Amino acid sequence: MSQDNSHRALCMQVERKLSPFIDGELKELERLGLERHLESCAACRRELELLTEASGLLREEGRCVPEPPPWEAVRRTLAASGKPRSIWKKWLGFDRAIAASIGLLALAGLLFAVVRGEWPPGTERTAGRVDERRVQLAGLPGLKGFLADHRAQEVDAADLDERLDFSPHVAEELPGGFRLHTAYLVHDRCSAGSCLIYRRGDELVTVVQHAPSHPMSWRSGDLVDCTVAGLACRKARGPGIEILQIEPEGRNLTLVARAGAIDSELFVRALLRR
Amino acid sequence: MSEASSTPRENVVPLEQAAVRRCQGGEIDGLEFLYGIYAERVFRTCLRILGDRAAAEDQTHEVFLRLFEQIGRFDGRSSFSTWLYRLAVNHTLNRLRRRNRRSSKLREFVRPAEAPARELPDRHVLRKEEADRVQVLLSSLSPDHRTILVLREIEGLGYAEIAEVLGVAKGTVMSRLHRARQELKRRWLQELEGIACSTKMSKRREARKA
Repeated sequence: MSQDNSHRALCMQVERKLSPFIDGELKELERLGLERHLESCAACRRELELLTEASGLLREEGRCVPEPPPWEAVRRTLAASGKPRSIWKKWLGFDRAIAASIGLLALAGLLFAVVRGEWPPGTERTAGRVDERRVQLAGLPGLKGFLADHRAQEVDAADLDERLDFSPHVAEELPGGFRLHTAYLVHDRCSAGSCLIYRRGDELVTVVQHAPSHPMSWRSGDLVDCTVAGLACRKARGPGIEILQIEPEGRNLTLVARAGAIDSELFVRALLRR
Repeated sequence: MSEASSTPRENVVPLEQAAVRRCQGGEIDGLEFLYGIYAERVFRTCLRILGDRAAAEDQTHEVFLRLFEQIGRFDGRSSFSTWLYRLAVNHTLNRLRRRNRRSSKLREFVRPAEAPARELPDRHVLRKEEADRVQVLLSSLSPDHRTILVLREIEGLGYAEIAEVLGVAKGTVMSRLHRARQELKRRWLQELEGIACSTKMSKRREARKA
């Protein structure tokens, strides 16, 4: 009986090694031990046979080479997009050291301007209000939690398109004078998206895109009027949600918005800072 | 395209490096050369993971457009093919996840139509091509298992390279591949049982008619 048990335990160990055995990824000693076991165990031999045969099916399939799509379509897309980056990339490619030095100089200049409160232009940021954003987020526990849960990373809004699989709609200003304040790249285990914070005085509007857990969805072109703190619609490449009107109402804001074409999701949250 | 396909492999490597540099400089002909070498592999990978030819063609274009955008990040620490496989696999899995999410959302809202009375499939029609059969088998696996099997069995990558493509440890590759093969074997045996069962039933029907 105990011999049976120990044999079964050995078979279980062997079973885990069959896959690397098929691929020739076992160490010499392991391989020899496994081969010795296979000589004496019909069940493991059968298992090896089945695994090899199932894998063989895929290898055969691999030999059927499908014709890839023609290059022309990629070239046309690239020609249509008229990439201006190719010019500066060519220039940057000339000498990495020069490019790095220029980058460092630009960064130093930018830091200097930020410290002096001269950048970004057109915002109300002043030297005395460096931690303003942190203070505001502390007053929005829901948003703070969301940002923490989704490992939010502050980014330049212009970079969002580069960093995401879809093009988020990043408007510099929403109706009612709400101006773009901060852009975050957010992601969890299986999705990525953006979180845009707009501000008008003490009021904040947060537009979170690509929040797959939310149960609601809008149809393309729907007009939506909401006073709650959570809404969702679906969005495609290009403009996703168009916010038409924003009015304060109690602790919330009323949004009138129009959903764009349907693809990925968009989650809109309206919050009033208190 | 023909430039790459007619050149022996040992001559392709320096040409490939030159093409990568040209591509990093924003030159489209560099991308065209890389497309000539890799489009087939990228397309095959996309097709096997997505299981849909039209989507795979679209995805192949997408991957090469991404390549052109992101080639500046390629620092030569891994081989170019590994880097490209990584780009292709990541973007294809993202697409698959989006598609799965969409279809699960649709399932929530759309009540499924009454299923028609099920007839025994004509296996000569359903399995007229081995390739289709294997693709169906592959598509029945989870995306992770599908991906690792495609990289190993179809693309022939080694464990270390798969680990680099997927961004996991070599030990993880070994255990994931083991589970993927077990699952593949299980589905394959189920399918064989199904064929055997339908053959038995049709024989019985024929016998009854006679």
